[in-house]
Amino acid sequence: MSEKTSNPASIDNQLFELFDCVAEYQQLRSSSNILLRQAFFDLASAKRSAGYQWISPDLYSGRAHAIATVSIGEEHPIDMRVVRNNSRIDNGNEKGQGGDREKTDGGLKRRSRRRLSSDESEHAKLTASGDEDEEDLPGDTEKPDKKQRSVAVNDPLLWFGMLVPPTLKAAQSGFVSSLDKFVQLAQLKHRLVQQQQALQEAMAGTTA
Amino acid sequence: MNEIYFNADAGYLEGIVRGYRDGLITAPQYLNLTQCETMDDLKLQLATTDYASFLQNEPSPMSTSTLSARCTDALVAEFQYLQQNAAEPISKFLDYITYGYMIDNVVLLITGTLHERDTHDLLEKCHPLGFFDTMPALCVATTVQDLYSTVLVDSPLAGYFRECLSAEDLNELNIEIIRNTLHKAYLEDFYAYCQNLGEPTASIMADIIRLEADRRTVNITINSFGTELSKDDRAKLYPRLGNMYPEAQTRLARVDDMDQVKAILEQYGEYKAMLLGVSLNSTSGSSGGNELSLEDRFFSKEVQLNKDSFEQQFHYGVFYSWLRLKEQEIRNIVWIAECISQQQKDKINNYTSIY
Repeated sequence: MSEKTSNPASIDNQLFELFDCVAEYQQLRSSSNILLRQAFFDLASAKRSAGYQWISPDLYSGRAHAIATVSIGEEHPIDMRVVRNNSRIDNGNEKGQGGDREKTDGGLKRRSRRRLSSDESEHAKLTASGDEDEEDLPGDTEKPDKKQRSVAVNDPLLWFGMLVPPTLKAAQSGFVSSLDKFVQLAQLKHRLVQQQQALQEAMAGTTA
Repeated sequence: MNEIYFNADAGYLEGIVRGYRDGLITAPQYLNLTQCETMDDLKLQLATTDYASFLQNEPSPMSTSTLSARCTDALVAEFQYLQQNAAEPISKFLDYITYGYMIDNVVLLITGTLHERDTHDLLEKCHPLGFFDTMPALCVATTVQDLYSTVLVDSPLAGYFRECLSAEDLNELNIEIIRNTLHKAYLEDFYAYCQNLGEPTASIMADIIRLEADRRTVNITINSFGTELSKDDRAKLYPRLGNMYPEAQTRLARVDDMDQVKAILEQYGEYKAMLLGVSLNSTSGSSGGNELSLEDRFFSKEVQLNKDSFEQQFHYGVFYSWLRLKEQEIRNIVWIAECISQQQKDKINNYTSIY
């Protein structure tokens, strides 16, 4: 062990850093708990408002896919980022079009997928967790100041209809926001463990 | 003269429904429910109510969705008993009540098919009161024309589809328009039917249906903020009856935010009183322990009208009112259950007590 790491002043600094990290972790955990708690409550309020039949897993899309994932670096596991699919289509191209129909062998008619922008099939843009641009959240589908309003074709809110209660939109916003905090929590936890190990090694070095 | 012959046709059923009314949960029982710490405690407290036999076989821990489903089963069982023992003209009135559930089932099946859900799963999730014979065939339709010509033309909802036939393909926006247009046509038709039944059914049901129309108008307005629904389309979804028809509806069709909604509602006496103490930026109890939302006020008003209908005899309104009170009771129970399971005890009292 080097003299630098076994220096009592250095150990003190490491200890203070650890305490700061713990405090940050607890604060972030508390804020994410509040966010989640409110989101679940908003969801319950929305169910009460719209009816329990209308806001339930029964209305989930059969072709649902993840629109936000967490990528973890292979070399540095602490490098976690939220990856969001920001594909949108213009309202003008979609309006009035129900999509092509094609018959399956079973006689059940299905709609083919709507044509989407080419970005959907590619990897989504990397966005740093915690620095997320709020305007790109799937829950934000409307910008009234734009002439052509774009609609997030993969917005799960549409599964429950167009006229959903405001509480459901608030719940979605809460869950989306909490994802960033979870990633931050995981990064902090990883950093905590690393700092703890380093501190233990440093203290072991002083006693040796 | 109505009083003389009413009991011959519907006296037994009126007695039954008044018995059902007496089984509704009272305020002291609600207090006991709100003091439960766990879902098992809640289940124990509900063992003294009409839901006991439907909940006793549910394993612990019971989820709120299961609780809602079992309570609905209890309601369906009671209503179906009324239907099975009803003859004309009361049977037609009870059938009219079920048309609303039929509309919801139709929309559920169309939406589920659009999202490529399994049809057998969807059929199991439909409301039992709204089931009709050709309902399973809904899953093959892709346009409104197909929907009408292959399935609904022989159903009780055929007449309500006239205003929907202009919609072409079935997508999220059109389905929502169809749903609200059907409900609008149903409400108007039900209102006209009740007026033909004569007094006192006509006046009692008129008040209840007008309130329902107003509530739908406000909900459509508020829920349409920030969506693709144009203002013209929004106006077309409003029922053509109610205290807000036509003047307030014309103005509500043009608003863009909650403040404008409040400004319009405040100009009408009964709604001005309803707005006192209401936080328009919150919805059902989400803002705090004692703040009420506009929706809660509508629920309270609806409960009051439905309770008042039992003060008169020899009318069919008691059947509709009991059903709505029972649905409110289920809403209350599930809300209390959600607050218990989420440990949100400060908001547990945001229910609308009936008796």
